[in-house]
Amino acid sequence: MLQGHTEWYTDHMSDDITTIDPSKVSGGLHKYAGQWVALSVDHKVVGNGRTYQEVVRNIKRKEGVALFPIPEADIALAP
Amino acid sequence: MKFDYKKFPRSADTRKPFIGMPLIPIAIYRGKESTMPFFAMLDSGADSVLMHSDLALALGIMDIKTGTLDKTLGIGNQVVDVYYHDDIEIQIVGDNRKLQTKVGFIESANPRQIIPLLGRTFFKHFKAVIFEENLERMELKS
Repeated sequence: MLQGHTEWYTDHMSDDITTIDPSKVSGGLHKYAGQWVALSVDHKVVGNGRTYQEVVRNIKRKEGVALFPIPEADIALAP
Repeated sequence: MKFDYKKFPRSADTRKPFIGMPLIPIAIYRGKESTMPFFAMLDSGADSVLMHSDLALALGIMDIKTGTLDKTLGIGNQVVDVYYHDDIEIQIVGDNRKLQTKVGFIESANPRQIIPLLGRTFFKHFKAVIFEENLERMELKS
């Protein structure tokens, strides 16, 4: 099982990921409801999975990418 | 630091409006282990920082039960076992500080139900946390 990572990720993390806009993903994100998705700075899905570990395993590239928990569709959130 | 809410579809029906969520980009650390940057929700209603055990594994915590157990009551009156670990730092993307914060991890058969929450133990690192709901943005003042 994939476990921890080194500081590689955050050494390479860019402020640009703050500008990632899930509403700009072509085709929408509803098919990923309830999953984690990895989005790139150009608003593209580069990986998805049921868990953090799964999405990191499946990710196609890591630079300029951040992970988002996608809320369930048709269910309001009250954590 | 100011952040706009992130907008998500509320439904597969694209005619329905998107919902804005107060998510900010962070990475979490434990020693030399860290996660990829991910978005977590600022939650003024949560006492503490809560995440799924899956993220603990990414930090090399193989068994969350090595932390301190504290039972937590959710909105639906359900009691959840939360295991707190105090050797974790949170870094907001764009800020070079790593903020030592106790993080509670939860095991769940359904990880998708758990969006990482940054509760008020995280807010304490800032002079003010401001939600501008009408503008769908938030500010963390240091």
